[in-house]
Amino acid sequence: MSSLRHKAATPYLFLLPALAVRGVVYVYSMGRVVYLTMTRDTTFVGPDFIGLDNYATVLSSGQFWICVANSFAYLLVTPVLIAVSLGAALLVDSGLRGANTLRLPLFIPVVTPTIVAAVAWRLVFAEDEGLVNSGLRALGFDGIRWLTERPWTLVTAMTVTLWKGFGFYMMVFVAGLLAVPRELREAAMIDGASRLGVFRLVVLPAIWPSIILVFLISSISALKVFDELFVTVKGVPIEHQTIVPLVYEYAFGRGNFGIASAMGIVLFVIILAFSMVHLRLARKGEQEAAR
Amino acid sequence: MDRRGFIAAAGGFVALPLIGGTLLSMGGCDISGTKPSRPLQLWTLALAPFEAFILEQIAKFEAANPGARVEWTDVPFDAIDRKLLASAAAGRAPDVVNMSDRTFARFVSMGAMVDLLPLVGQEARATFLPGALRIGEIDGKLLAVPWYLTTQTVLANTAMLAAGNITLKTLPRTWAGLLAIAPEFHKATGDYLFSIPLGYESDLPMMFLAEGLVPLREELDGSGKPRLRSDLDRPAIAEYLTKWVDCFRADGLPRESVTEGNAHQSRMYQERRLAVINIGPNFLKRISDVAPGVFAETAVEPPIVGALGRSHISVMVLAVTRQTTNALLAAKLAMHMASAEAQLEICRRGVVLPSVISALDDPMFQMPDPRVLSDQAAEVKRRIHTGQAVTSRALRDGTAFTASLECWPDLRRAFEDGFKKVLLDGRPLAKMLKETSAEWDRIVATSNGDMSAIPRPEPLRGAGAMGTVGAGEANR
Repeated sequence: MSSLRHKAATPYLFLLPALAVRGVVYVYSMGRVVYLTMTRDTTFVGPDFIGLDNYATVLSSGQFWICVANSFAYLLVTPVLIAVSLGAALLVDSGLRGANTLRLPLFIPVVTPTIVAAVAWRLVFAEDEGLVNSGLRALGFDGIRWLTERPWTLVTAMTVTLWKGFGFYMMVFVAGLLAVPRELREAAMIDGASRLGVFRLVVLPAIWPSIILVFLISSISALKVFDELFVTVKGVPIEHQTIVPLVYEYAFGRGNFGIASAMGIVLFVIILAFSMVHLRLARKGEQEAAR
Repeated sequence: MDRRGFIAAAGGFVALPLIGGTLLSMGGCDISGTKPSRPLQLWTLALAPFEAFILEQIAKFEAANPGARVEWTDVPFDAIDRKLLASAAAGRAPDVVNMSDRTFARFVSMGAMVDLLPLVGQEARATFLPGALRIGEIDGKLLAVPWYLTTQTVLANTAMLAAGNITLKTLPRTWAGLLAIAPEFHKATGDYLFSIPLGYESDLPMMFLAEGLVPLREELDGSGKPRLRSDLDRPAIAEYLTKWVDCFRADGLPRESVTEGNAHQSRMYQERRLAVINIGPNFLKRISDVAPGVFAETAVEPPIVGALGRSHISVMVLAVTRQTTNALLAAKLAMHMASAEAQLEICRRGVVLPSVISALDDPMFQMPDPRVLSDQAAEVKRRIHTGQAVTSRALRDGTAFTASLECWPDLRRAFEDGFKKVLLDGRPLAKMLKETSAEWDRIVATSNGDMSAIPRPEPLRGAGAMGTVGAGEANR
């Protein structure tokens, strides 16, 4: 009996070190952030407990809600990201000659540091002499204020997110596609299904969990976007940006960790709610498809 | 391993990081009085190239104060705010920190600095240039001592000016004069005549003061006590800002001036997209290294000034933070680094100026003989020396146009936020001034300070025409 209990406890003992580190890193940090949300400018002077005032300030701030709205607008990058990465995965998995060798070049953006990518894209979108505007002008159009005018500031950052992210999601889809039995596709084709039909009726349901996963991860990343905006459009009014740059501005621009932490907690709640709703809908969709 | 041994090992593995983490975090606790041998932490701002100088000064300080030890960290210019905030949040702020006047004002508003007057005595004040010392004097306290100073000089690309039919003689020497011809210059050449940071890191609040347009006024409150009020929306300021907005909208100023802060000026000058910049003379060295062609076309001229005729002095200060465990020794270190001897030494090694009155008579700050040197390396040195001499002359009449108000950074930020929207989003200027003025009233209502904190020097004789050195003199 005692030996059985010992055996049951063993895995948990192995997990303990990791859980302890995680506890310190996550639980303590989270607790500290929650505490900061209830204080005012404590950096040098010491704690000044103000209850829930910071939350009231954040929730009544027009600037905060504009940035939240921008964060949700930024979610528009997600369907494009899924379409592009799924398209790239289908190409790589198509069996066409040389298609497999595309994996490496398509994956390069993923391993490129975001800062480097954003700086490069900043040059591409430069308003006076950038590649895009030079091209537009050569075609007889006016240049676009990619780096300074709303909503183009968001579009510029979204382009960097798209370019930087699609390679990773492509690999997720490729893994999903490899798990689809070739016999199923062949059987469908023998039964007279077109290529589109095979994709719609065989491949898509099989990789649906991958699509859900990519949608969820890329949506959460989009809501938390920072690097791309920080490098490409830093300096534009904060109302042109999303919620995390606003948090950064309050924490490190104004030194107001209380407000910044309160914004962080509200953002956490928003992302949690978004993810739960999304997962529930996805599960429902999956169940209906199974029926 | 038996069961007990296994549990002990697992327990130890779990406990070790926790105990280690706790001990590490205790390192940031205030242990004043218990460990006098704890080294003083000195942070400098972007002084890595002066490593030898800093180490020499630290060695001298340690020799003069037996038992004292100093650990030096150099922090990049862009990172100081973030790094200082993060270290303070962890209870590990440095004892002595070097920062710019702008950054300093911000940390003062957080109550980050120790009053140095009781530690260094009143007599220490007399050694510094009053215009520089004023930055650290807030509400009757001395919250920092001035260290080295930088003021600006004009670098003008003569070839670009010629393309726009402008010579060094006809180049306007005031901001108003430049604004008047900038759109025309852009139309003629496709390049920009000049630029300053207008939105992000805006220079305009400082320039109000340089133009003699004080954006605050004093008013008696209900109890008869004088209180600061915003005067930002008065017609003279609106008129002044309208000139900038009109020039920007007529493409006389680059859009980078709104979003990129100070960095855009040097970058665009190197790229031959900007003909004139008002910048520290040390920038000449960088141009000679990265853009020798542009360097060859560059002339060094006296700084552009506002209506008062006085150029702006940027003051680097040394302050002691509240988290120090040895305020007296830290204040001694700050005074040691800011001593006349140390300041002359750093001026010798870099293109900066001293904040100690006695040091300005050193031959280093006299104009060089243009006939002596001729090869390229010597020419770089000669021009840098010229820049240093030009700026040291401007220094005697210059003023740090930064208000010694705790809330000054908040006022600047509110202005920047509003003015960016005027320039980029087309918000009407009058509406922005009204809204920002109300915001300023809200900010000053919760802050201390009076009009004595705002630099309001008399205009120089003949102001509006040029600075303290005749145009063209520097290039002879």
